[in-house]
Amino acid sequence: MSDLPRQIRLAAGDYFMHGQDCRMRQAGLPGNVCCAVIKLDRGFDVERLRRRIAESPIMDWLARVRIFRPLPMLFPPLWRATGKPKTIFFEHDDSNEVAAGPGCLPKMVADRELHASHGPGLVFDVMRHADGTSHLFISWNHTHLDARGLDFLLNHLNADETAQTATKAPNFINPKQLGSGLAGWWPNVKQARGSVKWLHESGDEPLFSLLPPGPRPAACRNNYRVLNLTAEETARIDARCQKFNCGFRRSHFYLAASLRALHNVAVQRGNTDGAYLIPVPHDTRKRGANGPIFSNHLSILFYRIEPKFAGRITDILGELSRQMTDQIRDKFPESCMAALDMFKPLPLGFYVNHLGKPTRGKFATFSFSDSGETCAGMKDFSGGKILEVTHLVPAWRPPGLMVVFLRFGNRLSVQISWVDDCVTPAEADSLERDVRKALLEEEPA
Amino acid sequence: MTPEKDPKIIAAKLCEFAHTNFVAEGVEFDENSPLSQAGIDSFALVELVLFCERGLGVRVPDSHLTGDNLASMTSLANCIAKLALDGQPST
Repeated sequence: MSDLPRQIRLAAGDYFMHGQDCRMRQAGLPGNVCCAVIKLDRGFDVERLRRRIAESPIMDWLARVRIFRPLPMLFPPLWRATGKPKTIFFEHDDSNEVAAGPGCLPKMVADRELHASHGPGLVFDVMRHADGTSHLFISWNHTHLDARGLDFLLNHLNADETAQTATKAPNFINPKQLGSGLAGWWPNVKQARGSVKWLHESGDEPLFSLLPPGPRPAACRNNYRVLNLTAEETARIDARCQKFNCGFRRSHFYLAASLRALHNVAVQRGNTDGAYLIPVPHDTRKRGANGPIFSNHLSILFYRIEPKFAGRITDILGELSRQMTDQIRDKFPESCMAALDMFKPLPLGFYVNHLGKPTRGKFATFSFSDSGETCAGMKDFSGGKILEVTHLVPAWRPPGLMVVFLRFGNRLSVQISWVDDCVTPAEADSLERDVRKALLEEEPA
Repeated sequence: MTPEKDPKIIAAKLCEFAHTNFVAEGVEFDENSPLSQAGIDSFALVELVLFCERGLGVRVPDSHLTGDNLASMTSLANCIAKLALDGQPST
C-alpha cells in the first residue's frame, strides 16, 4: 500500500502510553506490553494467517514503525516507518500440554521484549496443542495500538482477499495524525488548563493508594487473574445493569463493582479515609466504522469517589453519573486531550517524570478499562472457531492494580492484574471474590 | 429557550446530533434504528442528554433514561416531547 506515510505524528495517547512504558521499565516490569490470547478450535489454518500477515501492507508498516525523536528539545516525537521489518510471526508445537490456563502465558510469550522505540511493536505467536486446538498470542506494545485497534486489525487479517486489499490508509491512520503543520501541534493552552487544575485539586490528600511506603523493590512482577463468567451469569449481570438503569452504562456498573471490591481491601487494611481517584479511558472513534487501527484514540474522564460512597453500588453509580455529566458538560475530556497534546513536545525523561506529578505519583488508585465487545462480529479466525478470548493488560506502577472488562459473544470476563509488592495474594483472592459478588449478588438493603 | 415539543422534529435533531458527534460516516442510522446496535455507550448517552438540555431546552432526568425510552431516537424523542409538554425545566 503505497499511500501509507513514512512518518506521522504521535497521538497524545501514544506518548502517554510510551511514558507509562518507560515508567514500568524503571520499576523493573516488562513494559506496557499487552497480550491478547485467543483459543481456536480445530480448523485454524496457520499457513493462511502467516500468508495474510506476510502480504498485508498494514502489517509490513506496523512491523517497521517506531518512535523517533529527532531533536528531543526542539521537535515533538514522531512515528517513523524505517528499516527492514523484523520477524513478527512465530510458531510453536506444544505436545505435552493441552492448553495454557487463563492468565498463564507460555514463557516465550511472557518474555517477549517489545519496545516502541526500536520495534517491532507487535508479535504473533501460535501454539498448537496435541488435542488439535491452538492458542494465538498477540503481544503488542500499547504505544502502537489500543484494544479496539487490535480488534480492527484482526478483522482486517480475517477478511477475504478482496476486502483486505481494499483497506485504505484512512481506515488505518487517523487523518489528524497525517501532515506536519506545527500549528496543529500546539493545542490551546487555555483548554488544557481546566483538566490540569482539576487534577491538582482532586489530587488532594487523603487518597487511597495500594503502593507500599518506602523504596520500590529492585524488580517487580505483574500477576494476572482472569474471571470468566458463563453466558447465564452474564445475562444476570445484564439484568442487574438494567435494574440499576445502566443499560447503556454497563461500564459504570463494572467500575462500581470493581471499586466496591477494592474498598473491601481498604477496609481490611484499616485505611478508610482515603478517596479513590480513577481515570477511565474512553475510545474517541466514531461508532460503526472499521478504524482507525493504529495509535491510541483515547480521552480520559477522572472520577474522585469519597470512601463514604464506596461501600454501596447504588451510591457509587450516583456519584459516577453526576461526575461524568459534570465533566462532559465542562468539556473535561477535550481539556484532558489538550493537556496530553501540550506535553508531547516535552523531552521523554521530563515527560515520564511529570506524568505522576499532579497527584504526587498517585494519579490513579487503580486503572480501569472496559474493552467492550472483543473480536466483535467474529465467530472464527483463519478457519478456526474462536473458543475463548482474553486480554492480559499489565498493571502500571503506580497504581499497582488494573481491572479490565471485556465481552466475547454473550460471555463477560474480568482480568485483574497487579504488581506483587502492591497487592498480597490474599488481597487478590478477596478482589476476585468480591468483584464477582458485586456483579452478581444483590446488596443487603 | 422555548422547549421543542414536536417529537418528529426532536427525533430528526437527535439523529443529526448523533451523526455529527458519534456515529461514523456511512453508517445507516435513522430515527428507528435501535440505539443498542448503534454502539451508543455511557459517554454518547451523556452527550445526547446534554444536547437535549442545550439544543432542545429539555432536561432529561436519570430516572427517564430507561430501556424503553432509549430503544430508538423516536422513543427518546417521544419521552422528551412529553417532558416538554409537562413543563420540565431545562436547568
